[in-house]
Amino acid sequence: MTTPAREGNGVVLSGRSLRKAYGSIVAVDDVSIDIRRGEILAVVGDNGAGKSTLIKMLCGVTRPDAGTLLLGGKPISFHSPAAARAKGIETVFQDLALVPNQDVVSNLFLGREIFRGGVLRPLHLLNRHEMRRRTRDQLSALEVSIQREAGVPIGRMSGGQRQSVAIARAAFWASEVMFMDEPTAALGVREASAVLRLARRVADEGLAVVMVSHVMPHVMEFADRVIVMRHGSRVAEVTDDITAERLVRLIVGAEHPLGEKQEEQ
Amino acid sequence: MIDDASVRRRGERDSRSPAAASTPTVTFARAVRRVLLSERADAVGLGIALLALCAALTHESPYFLSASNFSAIGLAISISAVVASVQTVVLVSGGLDLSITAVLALSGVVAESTLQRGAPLAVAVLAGLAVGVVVGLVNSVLIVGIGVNAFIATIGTQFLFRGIAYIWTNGSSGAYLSGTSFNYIGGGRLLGVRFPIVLMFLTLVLTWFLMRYTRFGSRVYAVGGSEYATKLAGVSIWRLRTLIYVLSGVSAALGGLMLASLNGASFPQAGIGEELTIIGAVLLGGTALTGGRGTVFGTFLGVCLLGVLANGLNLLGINGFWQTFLQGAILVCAVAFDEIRRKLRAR
Ligand SMILES: Nc1ncnc2c1ncn2[C@@H]1O[C@H](COP(=O)(O)OP(=O)(O)OP(=O)(O)O)[C@@H](O)[C@H]1O
Ligand SMILES: [Mg+2]
Repeated sequence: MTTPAREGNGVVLSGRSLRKAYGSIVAVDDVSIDIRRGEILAVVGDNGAGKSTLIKMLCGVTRPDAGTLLLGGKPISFHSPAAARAKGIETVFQDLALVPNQDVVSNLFLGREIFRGGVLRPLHLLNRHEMRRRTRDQLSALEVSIQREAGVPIGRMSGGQRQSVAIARAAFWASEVMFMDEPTAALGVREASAVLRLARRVADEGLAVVMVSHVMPHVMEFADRVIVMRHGSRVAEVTDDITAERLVRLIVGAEHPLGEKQEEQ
Repeated sequence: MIDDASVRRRGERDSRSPAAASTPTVTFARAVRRVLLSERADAVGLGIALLALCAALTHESPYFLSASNFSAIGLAISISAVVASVQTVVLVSGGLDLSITAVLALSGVVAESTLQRGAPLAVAVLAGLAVGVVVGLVNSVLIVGIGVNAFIATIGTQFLFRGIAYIWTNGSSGAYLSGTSFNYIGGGRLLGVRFPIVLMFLTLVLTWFLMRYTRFGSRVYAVGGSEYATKLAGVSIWRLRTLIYVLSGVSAALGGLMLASLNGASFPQAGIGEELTIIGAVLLGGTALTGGRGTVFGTFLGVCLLGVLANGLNLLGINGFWQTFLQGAILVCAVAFDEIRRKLRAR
């Protein structure tokens, strides 16, 4: 844990008593979560613990069966990822959702292209120059050096580069929260830590960053706060120093958290 | 800073390995591979093939390299080029429209019967083009709205629209068009250039421009590359695809008007089987059937190659059956070449 979480303040997005069931499977059961500016919040748990489902409810991909979302303290509901995006909430999906045959610039601006102004504006002519310039600015602000790869289709880049592009895109458009579902799952050690340093910079810029991860060393090194999920419930929230071993014991249910209200069934 | 080192590492590996084994054969193989894999290989290869064919024909026939012969070639390919340029858009988006040639017949039939009822030329032309809009909407209701596979949906609508053309005309061709103002579409000239050729270049330039410089074009490539990612990026997929199928219908309808005007008559059986020739020319031009890749310029080269081939065989007095055979041979070679390239690139 790098920095202690600030209590109460800085909360941008919260979920209250969120619940989602798929048929008889309760994927997420009565989970509350506060997401804070400038902080990396990690959500950990075993396979099927409900991490992805929780994230999806917060970023507009799925609607909760019960519970509420609060954005800046006010109740809100998202009908689609686009609705969440309109409120400054971006998501880096596990499969990245990049278009493989297009370059960084096109991917960054897909769906939100910049047009040439003036009388030609109704024709929706692309202002590639401006899009290229802003892409360059964004990449260098985040210290992602794939500039020389501009024009190369995303599909020909390495996994780490692709991940960086997806994060750069989310960070570019996000004004509140950036979600990342297993951002390092497909990466080697070196690439993974570069991607996480990138996430750190995004958080330091003032965004709230939430990541789902299975990799305990990453969680230990980069997260400011950790929420542990198990069988759809939130079983612990850890902010102080914790050993990886103890975190794993919480995840598998071998240890019951002290001072947490939720009890494991 | 990410990957800076890994890029460099890969670069080093690449530059080190040729030195490790630089026998002439290996060097040659490497050079061939580099040429084959380059982005422009499609267009360059096709351009070379076209030039070589033209050179050979110039050598063989004194008539080949003449303005009148080129005008004849232009006229012969004008309809295919109009339809194929928009088919490039359809294929790049990952779609398919096999109903185009039925639309070609139906728009001619509709325009003719509109004209026959005493409507002015402009109304007849609009009625023909409206056929394109309607069939485009029907196709997109099936493909985008209901989610039927484009191949199956447009085989179905091909029969549907062809059937309507037969029922409408009771199977007979109309000959009302000759000697009317409708002739201008096929027979008129603009600055000395035959009007179908003008229409061909207008369509080519328009689609090229759309694909290259507009939001629409950029989204067509995106949706062909990954519909899922494009949708998540907030692009309305149904609106985009509907527009594409409407454009496809309208281009086929325009082709139908050109054909009816050139023939001076509309035929309900016009263009049967030609949809595969047209799509073949698009594929020849380097467009991927799987979507996401292709250019209008490549399609133009593909159409030209097939057009010049047909013209040349004609000039040399070679049996027309050879044309079918050679068209097939060229297409088979082109797709095989494309597949080999794809495999090499994936390695
Ligand atoms: N779309 C769905 N339809 C049916 N069941 C689902 C669906 N999505 C998730 N589930 C179920 O909900 C439970 C929680 O899934 P979820 O994907 O949220 O887990 P997770 O913690 O992200 O797991 P992993 O670490 O494997 O990604 C699982 O039992 C899963 O099978
Ligand atoms: Mg998951």
